[in-house]
Amino acid sequence: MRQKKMFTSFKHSRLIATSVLMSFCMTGAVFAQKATIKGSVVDENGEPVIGANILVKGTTNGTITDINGNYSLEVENAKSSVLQISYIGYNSIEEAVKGRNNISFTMEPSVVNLGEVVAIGYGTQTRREITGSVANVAEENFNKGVTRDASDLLQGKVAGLTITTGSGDVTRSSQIQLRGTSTLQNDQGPMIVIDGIPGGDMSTVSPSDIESISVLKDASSAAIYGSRAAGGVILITTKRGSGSKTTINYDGYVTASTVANKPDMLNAQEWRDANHALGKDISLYDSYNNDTDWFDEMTRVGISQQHALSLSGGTSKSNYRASYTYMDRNGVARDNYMTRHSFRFQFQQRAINDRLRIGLTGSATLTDMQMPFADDFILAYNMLPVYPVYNEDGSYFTGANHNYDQGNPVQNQDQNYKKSSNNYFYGAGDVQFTILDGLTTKVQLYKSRFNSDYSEWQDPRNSRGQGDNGYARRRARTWDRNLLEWTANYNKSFGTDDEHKIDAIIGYSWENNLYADQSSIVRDFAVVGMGADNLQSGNSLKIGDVTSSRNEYKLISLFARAHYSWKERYMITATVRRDGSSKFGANNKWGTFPSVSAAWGISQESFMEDVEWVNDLKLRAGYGITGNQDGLQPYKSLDLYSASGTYYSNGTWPTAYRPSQNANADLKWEQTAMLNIGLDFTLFNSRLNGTIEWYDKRTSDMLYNYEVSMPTYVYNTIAANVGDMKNTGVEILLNLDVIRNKKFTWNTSINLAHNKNEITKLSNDLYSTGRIYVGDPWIRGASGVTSHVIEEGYPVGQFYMLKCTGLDENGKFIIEDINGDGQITDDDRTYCGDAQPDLTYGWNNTFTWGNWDASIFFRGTIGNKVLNNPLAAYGNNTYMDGCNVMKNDDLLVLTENSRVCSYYVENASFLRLDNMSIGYTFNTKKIDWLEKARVYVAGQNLFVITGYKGLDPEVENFRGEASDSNAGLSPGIEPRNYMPKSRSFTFGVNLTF
Amino acid sequence: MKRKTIISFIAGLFLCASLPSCMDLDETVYDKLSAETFGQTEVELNALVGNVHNTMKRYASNFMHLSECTGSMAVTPTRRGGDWYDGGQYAELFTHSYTAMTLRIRDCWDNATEAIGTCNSAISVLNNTSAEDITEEQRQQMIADVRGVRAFWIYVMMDFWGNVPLLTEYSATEKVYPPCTPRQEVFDWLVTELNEIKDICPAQSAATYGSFTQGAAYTLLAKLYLNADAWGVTTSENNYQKVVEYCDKVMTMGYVLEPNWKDNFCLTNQNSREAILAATFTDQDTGSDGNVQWQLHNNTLHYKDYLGLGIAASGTWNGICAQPEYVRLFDEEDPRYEGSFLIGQMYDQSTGEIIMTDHGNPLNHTIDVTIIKGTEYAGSNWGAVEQHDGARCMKWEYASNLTTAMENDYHIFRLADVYLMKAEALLRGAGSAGEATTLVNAIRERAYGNADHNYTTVGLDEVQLERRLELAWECSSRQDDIRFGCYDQDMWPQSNCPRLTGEYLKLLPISQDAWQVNPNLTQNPGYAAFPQK
Repeated sequence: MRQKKMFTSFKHSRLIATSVLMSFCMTGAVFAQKATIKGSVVDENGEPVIGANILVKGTTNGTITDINGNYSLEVENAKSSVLQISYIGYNSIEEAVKGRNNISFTMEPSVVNLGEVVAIGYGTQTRREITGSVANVAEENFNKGVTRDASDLLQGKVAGLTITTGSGDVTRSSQIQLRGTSTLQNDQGPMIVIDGIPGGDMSTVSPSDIESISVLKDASSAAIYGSRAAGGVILITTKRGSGSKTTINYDGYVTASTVANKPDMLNAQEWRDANHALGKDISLYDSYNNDTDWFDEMTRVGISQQHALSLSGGTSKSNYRASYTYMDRNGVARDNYMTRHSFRFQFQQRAINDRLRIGLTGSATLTDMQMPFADDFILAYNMLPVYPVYNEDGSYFTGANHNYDQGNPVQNQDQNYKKSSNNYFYGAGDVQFTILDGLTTKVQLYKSRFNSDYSEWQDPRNSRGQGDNGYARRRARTWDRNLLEWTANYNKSFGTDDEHKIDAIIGYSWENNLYADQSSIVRDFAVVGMGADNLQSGNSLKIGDVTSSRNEYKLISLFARAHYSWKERYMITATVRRDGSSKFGANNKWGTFPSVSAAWGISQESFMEDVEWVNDLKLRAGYGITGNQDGLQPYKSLDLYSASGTYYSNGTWPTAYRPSQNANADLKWEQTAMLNIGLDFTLFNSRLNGTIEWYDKRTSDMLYNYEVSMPTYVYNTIAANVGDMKNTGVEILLNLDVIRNKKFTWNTSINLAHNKNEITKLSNDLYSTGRIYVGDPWIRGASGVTSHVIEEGYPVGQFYMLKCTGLDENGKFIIEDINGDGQITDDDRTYCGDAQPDLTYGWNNTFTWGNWDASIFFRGTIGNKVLNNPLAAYGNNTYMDGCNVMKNDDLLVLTENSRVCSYYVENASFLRLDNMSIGYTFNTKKIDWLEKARVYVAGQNLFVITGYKGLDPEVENFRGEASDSNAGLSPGIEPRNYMPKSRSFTFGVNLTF
Repeated sequence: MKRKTIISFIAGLFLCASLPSCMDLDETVYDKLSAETFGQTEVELNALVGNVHNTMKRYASNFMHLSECTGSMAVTPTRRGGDWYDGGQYAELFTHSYTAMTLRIRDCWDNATEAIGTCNSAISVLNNTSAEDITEEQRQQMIADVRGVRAFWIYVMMDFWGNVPLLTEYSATEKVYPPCTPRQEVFDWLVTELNEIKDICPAQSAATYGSFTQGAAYTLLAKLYLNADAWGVTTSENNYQKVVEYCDKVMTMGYVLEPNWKDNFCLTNQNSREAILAATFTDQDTGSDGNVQWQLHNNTLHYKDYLGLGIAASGTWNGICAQPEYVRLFDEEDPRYEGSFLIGQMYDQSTGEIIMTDHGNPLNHTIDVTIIKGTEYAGSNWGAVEQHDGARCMKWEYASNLTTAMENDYHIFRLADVYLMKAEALLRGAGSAGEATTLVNAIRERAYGNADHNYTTVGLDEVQLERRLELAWECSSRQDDIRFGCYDQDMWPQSNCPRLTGEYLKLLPISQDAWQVNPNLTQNPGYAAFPQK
């Protein structure tokens, strides 16, 4: 075995060496002609544009215009170089030098920059050339305020991209979903690509290092990422240094976060009054003279800060950027924090007449965090207001610790913890070589390691730890990733005025992923001072409590893309990717993912020349096939045996073995085919621009653990590809310069997305599945009572439960007897709305007035339902003598136990003032050491308008652990252990030297 | 030169693609073992057979609920506040209004069928192993052991559902979806199967405790013949003579009625010489990876009982309790009364104070279980009872350090049962009342510790009563009630929730979920037929 492994690694190194050599050996010097080019840049009124970027295309050699709009730039090759001129608010310009020494430019303003270079998969394109559906958000449009990662910057900005922040837990990342649910697996959202490295992790890029984010929305643009792209692709482009200019940038802010929403519980007197009104005897409990608001006791104003420092610069041959970001976030729960140090370093050097380019990137993200026990909030619901937090002698009040779902949550917060220290390191190197004009080859190597060291402690002195008399866990996990990519790119324009343009790429990619885990749990601690840092002091070590595991999978791919455009009038792109994954079954190791898309630049047609009010008009259509293998764990297709507990053998307990799963040699990716048609327009002197898109997305071979018949199978589920699902939708983006003059500008931008989801198939010849009942809202007396159904003809998130039309005069639920048999049973359950919205929207406004700038951003949904489960669980007077309850109209009226029924399903449409900021940029023209200085204040989550009566209408799409394969199938439940969200106020400073 | 460059470039690409490692998707499996190589040593085969034994652990929880609650022994009432209503599934068991959707029935079906699948796959490994460190005799004994466990599970399915799919082959690739085999055929198959293995199975000894031994095979045969009439199957034998024959065989195998009745239920009850077939548990069971925990205490004890019992397990679930009239069958002097039930006021062991419930009531486990007026669920008489109502299970010793998993084993068959089976068979025509009286008295004398409560003569009523006194919480109630013709009579009349009546209820409905994945199954008569697919 060992010998074989060594041989394998030798083979890999040979492979790498071959690829690198290939890039080097094919050389041939081309004579270059150096020259210095000068000129000026003016706007549409002939006024100089100050600070416009001038860049030699394909290099980092560049400069910016001075106070008079003039520039001077030395280029290596005055014949073949192309200059790119860009400035915020104006269309970028590309112009070939063709031997000239003096070139001046006039820039056209635009609400959208059609010449802007946008990252697409394995390359870039200008916005005008794009044939697929790609949304790009650049730094100036990012959300302001306290942000953890790219998802916070993007929330609400892209039509069809739903980003949900479920709770105020600062350690919990957002959930991202593009164009509706397209899997029955735990939806991992879009694939993240960071600077061309596929499969990255958002948390490894500090928001202040991000320059722009592209979202590949349709299959024709994402298909080049093959079997992992069905959830869409998010491309993150980080900032880079540019030649000849040295910049130091400081970005800092401090944020105060408060609890945005808190359950409305009875206070002591209200609790007494309510009990007296119902004639309940509370003397047993009412022996304390307190009025405790347990939610207040558990929460705080969380102060957070971030400081980001970056240096960048370079020469005409090289550029670099290094950054360090320190973030310290304290959540509104007293036991919730995250500190993160992010280091990032990039260096690029050119040689051999700019034909060779070598780049190195290093990144380290070191995070320490403490996650709250969400279940402590259950205690806050249940604990009576008359109970004190502390006894008179200062010790914790533990009088209720033995009651069901009760205990002192403040004590729990202070004594228990779940901490994690994570290190995420990666390094990437690339070697790019221009073999001949237009033909470039590139090898990219990447290695990352992510370690997580987790500690958990439940102290025996409090309600959480008392059951095990103390519980300590340590867990160490490592994820390793190795990636090699080789690409060759051919890019050429020819014909009159370069009217024909070809851009093609082929590539090969090899990656493997390793995961290792070890975990130890020890219980029963007599001495408590050391928490989880001294496991050996625990008295009880159970056999199954020490575990380890390790797995590996490989992904090998070949891919190609060709793009052709004629006069930017007719454009066509075709891509294909062939992906092989070791996770797939023996009968389906390789999949092919093709796509084709075309665009018609209508405004470029000669007949449109006279149509003055149309600045740009482009019709796009694309079709492609992508895959998803997120939910597929390694080895799932194989027939394996694994250790499984112990068995009794004559007084000893040896380890038992059993088959580890139902093997499926046909296991493969799930496949999504998407047709996308879009219209991009820029009208009225570029004041209005927008996009209208329609898509039809069909997922087939859906991965799921389908139920199968025993005993022909050993287990009752098998990972298989069976069902089909359909998403159709329309997205509209409108962007309007309402006011555009020298003194004052007002830009308003609105995005709307409608998506309709439907499961179209759940059975095939091999596996037959009827309804899958999912959703476990967890109220007392309703264990195993589900809230949702997965069924053909209905969307994911379909509520399916008893239908309640109100309360009768006796305070009992009026349940509709659907089958009319005079009894209310499970057979009377019916369809009660769904959790997916009919419309999601975002509305952004930005203003500038002299040196002032401001933005105000609303977002929301229409037509989604949420199960107000806290109300069902804690709004009932059944336990009111011993447990606190939420205030509600039915509190004294209801005479039966809460039920999982439509009574608690509410319309959760909402409008949220999500983000508002005001900034002032100081005039620094007279300060020669300071280039830019800006201060701002920002507020986040300022208010919500909604008819939903629970805490917050925006709940996580899926709950629970990623390992819970059903977690994504019951969206729209506000969990009873909900941690409140926060409202944040930020003061920030931005300095550039 | 350009052309040359392009050629060398393309050649390089093909060179790379042709390297085997470039396209090699083989994966190294690190933390599991390949089926191709597993099962080639004695240790591995024992580990596989041990896993088969572990399937019987599932009998102790789900089937206990199903047997005792559909029978006359126990009930899981809805507790004030709604605990254990759970969509009405427990009410359905008690009132015999179960349907193809009743969750506990589905779970039991899954437990049994999964166990049978596990046995089939183990047998296929044992049939094909080329392990050199075991003898052919050992191998045959292992196979017989596994076949015995499988026969036990098929018997359980036949008992509860009657007509069940009978699939005894395993193939990793060829999947079959058998229709239901009629009860008679399943019965005949079981008789043949057990006769084939009954003398190959491991012999009874401390070393084979936990296995399916010869004693278990003979006991199971006796059970088959004892219930044959009640099941409506015909045999060519005199059923009750066969019961006597097999019971006699078991009684000569060295099993002993433990002089101290409680030794069958203590923490170290693996040492009981009365145990014939056992599900073996340890408090080390973690509940993960098929490491099933026995959580009887969680199911039955009130949240605060631990304070009174002086055990570590806080946060128990306050569920199942005894049906009141069942408890009243017990003579209070019978040690099995306190030895089976937790009854009365609970006191905090550390303070000596009365324990109060969340509702401000003293934690007093009354025998009576009373539905609180006004709590009835719409359209039924089923309502909530007080949190503290009902006699709890106190048969198996609770360890003082008990937290989540019980240490005691669950004896599926034990000698006392065999005594009473023989007594019943004798009374049903296979022998004399005198011998039956001796057998029943042996059980009573052992329980009381003296002969003061012996019968002078017994009839079937006394045997039935003795079975109820002896075998509470031991998965006997449903089968016995059917055999004694009182399956429709519960022992909680004050519930005012009468049971449905009908001969068809003696067979449980096949779970809808089971039919979903095997449309060849046919629903038992009396229940809504599965639609045609």
